[in-house]
Amino acid sequence: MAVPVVKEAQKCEAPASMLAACGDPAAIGQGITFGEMIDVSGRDRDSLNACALRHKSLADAVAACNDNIEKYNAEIREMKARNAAKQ
Amino acid sequence: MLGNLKLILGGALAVVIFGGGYSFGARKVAALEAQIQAIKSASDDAEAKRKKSQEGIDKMLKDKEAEYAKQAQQLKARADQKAKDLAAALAGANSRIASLQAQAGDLDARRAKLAADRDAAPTAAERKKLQDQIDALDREKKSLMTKVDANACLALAVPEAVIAPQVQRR
Repeated sequence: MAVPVVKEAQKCEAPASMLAACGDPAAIGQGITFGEMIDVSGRDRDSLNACALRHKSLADAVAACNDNIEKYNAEIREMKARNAAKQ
Repeated sequence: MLGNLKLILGGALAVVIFGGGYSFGARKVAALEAQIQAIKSASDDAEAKRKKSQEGIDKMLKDKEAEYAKQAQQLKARADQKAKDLAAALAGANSRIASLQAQAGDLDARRAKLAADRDAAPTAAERKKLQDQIDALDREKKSLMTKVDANACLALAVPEAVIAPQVQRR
């Protein structure tokens, strides 16, 4: 009869798409016009929105992982308590 | 004769001692086996829970990934549309200026006529009424010219002193 060994802990591997770094701000050159500045501002806003969405999604995923792990740990604690009560 | 008896008794005693020891040892081993079985059962139960929990985590992450991909796609579509609208709006500055200037020209013509009518008006009340209309046209033209200036501004370079802190240096 093989004596059980400790198993690996649970993994929470966030999707690679959520781990991508945020983009750099758009470059601003000498002699830029007011119209071009509006364009730069728009691109930076889009980039910030995309980054914020990615960050929120990642934070949600990590929080959900923690919830799942906590539920699992609670089950293990319960199981240990049951076993301790038997002995 | 006495020697044989001693031998038999000794042998019997040895058998009793051996049997007792074996029985005692067997009980101990059985208890240990039962304990190991209980540990294995608890471990199997824990492993089943771990697997189930890990599957739950993997599925949740896949769902989150799909949800994120959908939202990111929607965001990109909106950003692309905004970029197109902005490019069109920026490119249309000159035509907007031309249209605003044409409207300003109409206002000038109407103003000139009203001014002539005012100067020829026979009574102070009529002159006042016409002057009020001229003032309203002047306000309208001022508003139009502000829009002309705003559109013309798009093609002007941002003053260096203002933009310098933002300019990327290599």
